Amino acid sequence: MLYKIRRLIILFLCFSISNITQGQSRKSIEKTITSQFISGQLNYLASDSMLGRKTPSRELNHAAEYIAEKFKLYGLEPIHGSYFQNIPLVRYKLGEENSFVLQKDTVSYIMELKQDFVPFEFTATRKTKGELAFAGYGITANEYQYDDYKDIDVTGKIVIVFDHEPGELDTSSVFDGVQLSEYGKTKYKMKNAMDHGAASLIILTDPLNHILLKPIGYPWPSLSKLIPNDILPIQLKKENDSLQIPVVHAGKSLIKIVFQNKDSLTKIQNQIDKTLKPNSFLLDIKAELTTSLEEEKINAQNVVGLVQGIDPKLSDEVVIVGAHYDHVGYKRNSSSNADSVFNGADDNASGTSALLGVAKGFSSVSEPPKRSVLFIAFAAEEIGLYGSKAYINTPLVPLDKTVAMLNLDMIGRNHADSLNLHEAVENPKLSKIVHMENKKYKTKFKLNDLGHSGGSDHAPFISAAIPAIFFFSGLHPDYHTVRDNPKLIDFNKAARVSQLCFGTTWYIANDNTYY
Amino acid sequence: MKKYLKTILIIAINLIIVQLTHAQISPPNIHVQQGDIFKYSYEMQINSTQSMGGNQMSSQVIQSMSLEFEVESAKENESIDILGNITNFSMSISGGGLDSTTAMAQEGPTYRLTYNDFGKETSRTLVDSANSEVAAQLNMENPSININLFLELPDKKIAPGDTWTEEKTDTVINAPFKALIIHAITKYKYEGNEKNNGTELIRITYSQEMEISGSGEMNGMQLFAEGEGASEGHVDLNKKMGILVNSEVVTEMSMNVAISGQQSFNIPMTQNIKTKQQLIED
Repeated sequence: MLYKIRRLIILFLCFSISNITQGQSRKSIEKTITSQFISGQLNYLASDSMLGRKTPSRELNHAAEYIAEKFKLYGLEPIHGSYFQNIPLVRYKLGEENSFVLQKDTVSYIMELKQDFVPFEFTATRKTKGELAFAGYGITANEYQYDDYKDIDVTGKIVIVFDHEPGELDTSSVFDGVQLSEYGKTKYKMKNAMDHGAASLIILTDPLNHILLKPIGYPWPSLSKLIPNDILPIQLKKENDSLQIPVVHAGKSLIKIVFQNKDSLTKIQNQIDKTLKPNSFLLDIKAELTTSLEEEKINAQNVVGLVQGIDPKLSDEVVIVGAHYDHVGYKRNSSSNADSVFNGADDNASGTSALLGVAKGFSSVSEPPKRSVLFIAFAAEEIGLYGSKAYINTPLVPLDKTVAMLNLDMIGRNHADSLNLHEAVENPKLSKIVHMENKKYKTKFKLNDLGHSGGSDHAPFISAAIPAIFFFSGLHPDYHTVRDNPKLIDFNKAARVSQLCFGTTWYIANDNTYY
Repeated sequence: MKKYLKTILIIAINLIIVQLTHAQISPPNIHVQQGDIFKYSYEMQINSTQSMGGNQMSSQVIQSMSLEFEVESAKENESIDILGNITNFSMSISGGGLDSTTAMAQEGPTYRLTYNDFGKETSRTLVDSANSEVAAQLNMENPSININLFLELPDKKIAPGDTWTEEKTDTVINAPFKALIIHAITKYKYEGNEKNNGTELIRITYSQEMEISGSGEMNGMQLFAEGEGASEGHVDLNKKMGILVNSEVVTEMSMNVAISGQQSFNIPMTQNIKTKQQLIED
């Protein structure tokens, strides 16, 4: 009997200690992640001196260094020796080597860039040489028994195709009539030409429905008198060129050299449109087509830090907590008195501060979790979720070891007790954990379980089949304006969201379930 | 015989001169009277394709409207004032995630259009506001409503087969652009005369090439627009009154709109615009 009582006492003590440890974690979290803590971080990140933390900018780099210092302070470990993960961002400009020469009989025709041909923005950097072939609209649509490549071998050839599709303005056309179907799009034609072995592709404005026969292609700033270089989109660097071929737009000068005149080409097009039967043929003309793009490297980085788990089986699994720290910069040419800085207090200094709060929370617990926790402050969210996309492309922990991702974006505004959980509908197990943790707090949130939202850094994780929850307090009229500044933030709410996120992360990191 | 031959030749030459004179149009070529009423139908179909981030999107807008004009004053050697408004309007949009049809049977605000003797519009001013906010949208200052009552002809006599070229640079204030500069070269040809329901018409065909450029600012971001266009069409004018009876024009534009600032975009777009204006009652 005594033995039994002693066992019961030991069991009770173990249970109490476990409860006390958790209870201490929760209470200490409320004392660790306070509204003062949140306001301290947020007021710095969203200050005017940060000039809106645009990607790329010196101020964004300052913000990155600040976050990295905090990660270090809270005991997070660097990964592969660094708190930074480079995001391979570039701008592609038109390169120096773009040329197009036709050889017909014994005559060489040198085509002029802009006047006679213009590369598209997704052209490959490559030299090609071969005979010309004409392949109608460049479409293979088996469901309509229409294939421009059916009776022609274009392997190694430089292929000319019409822009758009048969029956472009005909509402009874099988190709969607007035709307441009997928078949009419230039990228589709490039891919289809590649699938048929073409070396390069020339898109020709079709004369039947168009009177402007000047090549357009892509409006490269270097070919313009007006447009500055910085309007070229920033994008993730292409891994390799093999998914593209040189693609250019050509116009009336090519029509004259290859087809003699516009009328003969119009006849060919008219016949294809009326009969919906292809009319593709090889041409006894040689060509050399070279297109090139140049990379301008853009500097930006994610900030990363790891809490290493301790369970021998679970520690190589990770739960990711993320928030983007970039915003949209400031207005140029603003008068000296006008507010010109997009402080991005809610979007997303609030989420970044909450992220730091969760990290600080992990520094205050008595022992590490079973699973590892990876903290990521993403850059380049505002210009296309590039920080999170780059992470998915080059993960620091294998994706199949990533059990969940929690994203914090805009969590400091609107009703004090209202919080949206996007992806909750698709991830009910994760949502349940959040709800369960929410109940442990004196002041609970009214949680709104919502479905998919593609507008933040959890989206690439969802696309990679990683369960995720997106904490979001909703849009407001100050979104992406100069009015999104710290004085409008509910710091207490932001602190509570951070605490809730900590509790959720802690639970998942000590769980052995998969979601 | 020689005497008769001479007479025949003189008569023949005179006939030719009469023919030519009859075919020639002399300025001023507008002869409308106070109180004349003209009703038109106007249709415009715009097919647009734009590209963003390498993704192409297309859309179509079809606008149909009825318009009514009344000659307010038309004294010789003075400018001509005509009051006009839109009396009926419908628009359908398809593509780009928008599929809708709007129809308004209300009358839009009244404008005074002033012309010189050669058919050139010199001003267009609001006279009467519309009865409702909705109807106020049917305003004839909308640049997309390219209504013409006349065609500005050269200040000299012209005959079938004659051609002439006009080169113009216009500056259009079109917010948020500070100024859009449009440089156009238009080539006209007087094709000839024809009869339609007892009315003698003159047909003018034309082709035009244009360049557009401009810059502006919006919310601290810089805007740029650059593009080129071409038009082909014909206009039939009432030979006696000079009023436009029928016109059909195809215009194609290739434009690039670029934005630089807290967000940067480059949006190339092409538009194919077909317009048809017809006199339905005079």
